[in-house]
Amino acid sequence: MVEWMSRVKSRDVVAAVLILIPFFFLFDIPSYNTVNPEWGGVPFFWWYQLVWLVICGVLFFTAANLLGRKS
Amino acid sequence: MLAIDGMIIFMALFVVFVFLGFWGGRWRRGDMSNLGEWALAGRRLGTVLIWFLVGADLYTAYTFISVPSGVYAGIFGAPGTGAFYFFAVPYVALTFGIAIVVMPKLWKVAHEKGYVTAADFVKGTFNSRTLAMLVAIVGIIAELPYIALQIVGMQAVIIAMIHGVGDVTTISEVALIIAFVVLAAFTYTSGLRGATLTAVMKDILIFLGIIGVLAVVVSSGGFGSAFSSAASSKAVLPTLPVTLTNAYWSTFLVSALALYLYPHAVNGVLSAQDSEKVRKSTSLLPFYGLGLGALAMFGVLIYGNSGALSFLHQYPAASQGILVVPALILSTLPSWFAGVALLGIFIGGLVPAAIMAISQANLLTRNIVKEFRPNMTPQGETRLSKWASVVFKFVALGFVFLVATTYAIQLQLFGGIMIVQTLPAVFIGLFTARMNKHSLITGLLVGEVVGVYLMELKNKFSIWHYSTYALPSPLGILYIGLIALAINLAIVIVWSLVLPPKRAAAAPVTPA
Repeated sequence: MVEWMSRVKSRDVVAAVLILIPFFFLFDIPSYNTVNPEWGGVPFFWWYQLVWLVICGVLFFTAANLLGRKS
Repeated sequence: MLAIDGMIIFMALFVVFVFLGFWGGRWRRGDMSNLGEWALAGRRLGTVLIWFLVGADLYTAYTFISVPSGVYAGIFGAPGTGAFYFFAVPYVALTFGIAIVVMPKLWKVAHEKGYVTAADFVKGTFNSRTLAMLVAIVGIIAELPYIALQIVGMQAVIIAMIHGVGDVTTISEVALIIAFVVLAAFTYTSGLRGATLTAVMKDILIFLGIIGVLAVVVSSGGFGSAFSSAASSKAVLPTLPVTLTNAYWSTFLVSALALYLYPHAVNGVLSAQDSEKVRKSTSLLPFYGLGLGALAMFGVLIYGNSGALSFLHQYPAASQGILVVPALILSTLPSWFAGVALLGIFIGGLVPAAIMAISQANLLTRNIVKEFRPNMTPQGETRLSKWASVVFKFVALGFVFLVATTYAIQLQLFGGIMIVQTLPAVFIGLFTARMNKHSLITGLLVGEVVGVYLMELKNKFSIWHYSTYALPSPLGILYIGLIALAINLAIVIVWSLVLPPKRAAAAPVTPA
């Protein structure tokens, strides 16, 4: 177990956290299942989730670069 | 009906498409009688093409026909609940996070050991022919409703184009048969290479179409007025009913887990040049999902466009939903541009159907037929694959009749229920070999039986309208895929803890 843990690199941990962030926020449906604040007439529920697509792209790309780096 | 210039553009681009499909077979020429060449494009596809090929999974009839249709119509029998089908957005946001962890690992193992399918991996890891064949059979069946969904998408385009010309039913059937024969011939001769080139063409046309419609919409009042008229008429309420909260997350979570278990997705990833290219190009795909989000909102947008709405109302409620995007294209874009966008949607059904059929054929030959006829020649293997890919597309047609097409998304959700049951063997199998193979076989079978039974029970053994089920529990309504997967996982975990495998089955998969 200890040996297994010592093989986990810190950048893998950072990558895992980056990947898990959007899961945490998107699972919290009550936090965004509202009409306001609207954006250009689009209810919050709809545009908030579109914004998460962009955030996911940034977080996952960062995580992919961390995971892909050779030690 | 589409005006004559739109028709001409549509036809001309279709000719270009067919040419690309056939020419693709000659591109970076390899020996096409070798299955690896035909189905994996000789493992030489680079980052950009992989992006388009795997991204092609995003832009199928699922995205531009069934999701907008669901948002437009809402849950069957509960008008105004269209927000539920917006689950497609968190689904595509999260699925790539899962993929960048799991798929490069699968690629490495596959590359090292010469695996071409998920069933190859299962056979090698758990040393079980039975489990491998089950994974292959489930993969083949799960693709069938997904292909059926593509057929519905192609049908929607034809209906929109020839609307008003006599008996629509007959004409659209004839047109579908023609398109189908071309697809079959195209898949048969060119394999994945042809599909990749046409996937690029398809995505370009679709993005042009989305941008065109959005430009017109934004310049003429935009989403705001559409949302307010949809809300005031209670056609699409602006938020999700609270009772559907658990249905929402369970559907997007399990859909996200399921996407990369589909044989066509595995096929796409394994045709990449290297695992890091897969990881980086996949990590950027959430951006690509913005187009899916825009298309989903077309289901609301249509309530702000009386022309498109009255077009839809000429068709019965059970099938009008699939016309949301084609009708908006026809009513907002000049006819030549509409021809371009409609062709994008049309081939957007054709190309994924080809890719899915190829991956089914791969499973059939490698993981089923070869188990019984190990001496099959490479040529014989390829011949069987190609013919099977044609046959499966026709079998898929049968699934079209299982749904009211407005709710065609149920086809994909049913496929998800089936394919996600292979998750313990494939995804978890990448990280630990400490699972008892008999528990995996039992868990898979029980998961499938529970999933199919609950789906049928919920739909009263008739046409599919729903894929969620309310178990008597505090969780309320959940996606059936989650219920079945939970039972499957419980069997695997408990059984493997009580009776661990005697020896770590095969070599544990080591990270490269």
